[in-house]
Amino acid sequence: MSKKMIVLKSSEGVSFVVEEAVARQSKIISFLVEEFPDRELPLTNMTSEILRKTIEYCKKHVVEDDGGGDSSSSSSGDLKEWDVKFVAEIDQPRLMDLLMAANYLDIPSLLDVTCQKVADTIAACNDEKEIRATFNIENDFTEEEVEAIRMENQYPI
Amino acid sequence: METPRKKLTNGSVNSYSLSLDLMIEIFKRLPLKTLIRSLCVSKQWASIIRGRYFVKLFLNESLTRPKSVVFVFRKRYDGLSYSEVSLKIAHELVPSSSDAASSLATYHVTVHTLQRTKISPSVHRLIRYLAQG
Repeated sequence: MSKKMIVLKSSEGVSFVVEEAVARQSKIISFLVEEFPDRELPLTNMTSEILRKTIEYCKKHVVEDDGGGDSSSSSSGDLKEWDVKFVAEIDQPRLMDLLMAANYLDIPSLLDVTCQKVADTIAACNDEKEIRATFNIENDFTEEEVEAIRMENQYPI
Repeated sequence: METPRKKLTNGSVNSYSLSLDLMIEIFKRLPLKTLIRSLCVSKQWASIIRGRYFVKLFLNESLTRPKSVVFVFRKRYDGLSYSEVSLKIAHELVPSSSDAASSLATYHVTVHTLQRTKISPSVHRLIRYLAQG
């Protein structure tokens, strides 16, 4: 059986041929393929690397979704595990790119796992200095201002 | 062979890369302790976390997590300074009504005080009192 394929083009002009069902996990693509069938979709703000990752995620999820009713509870657990591993293997800059790709393409489940991973990374930092270092954020507070915030918000225990 | 990284990010969480709504998406998933720590990261982070919209969202989000107790201190200054304490407790904490696991209890308490209100032992007692009642 032949499945309908569509072409997604990265910012570098690399074409990715994917099954329509896979790509349709993106609400934006789902909308676009209905409006403009038989056209390749240029994704000018996504690198090939990020697009490949996004497609990998969508492929995994479309396969699992096909499983249907009865086996869903065990497979959804496996899928969660897979998601955790998927984001764990990505470094910080690429994770942010993937998060933005999920947002841009409107893939809610991918947005959820990437946001959660970033939140977990922030939570794993020991102090605000480590958070700044991890996310490359400039400190625009003076020492006194930081001290004042600390005094105001002492956490019990 | 690595293409130069796009100008979009440097892996940083700031206004140049992530939009406000995405930062809120991330912040609402943080544990309270981390959120408080995050106030010291930058002025932008602090302004988002202190924003009225985010505080409300975080409160609601926290209630969907099991066993959450959230305190929101709203300060008002009109002559005397006092704090309005709004306390919400997820019902999982209340053993006697565990049948209504999904329902929530909301307690509004107004505390008049000249001093800054801190989370103190008396508050812990209050929680115990509410949990037993």
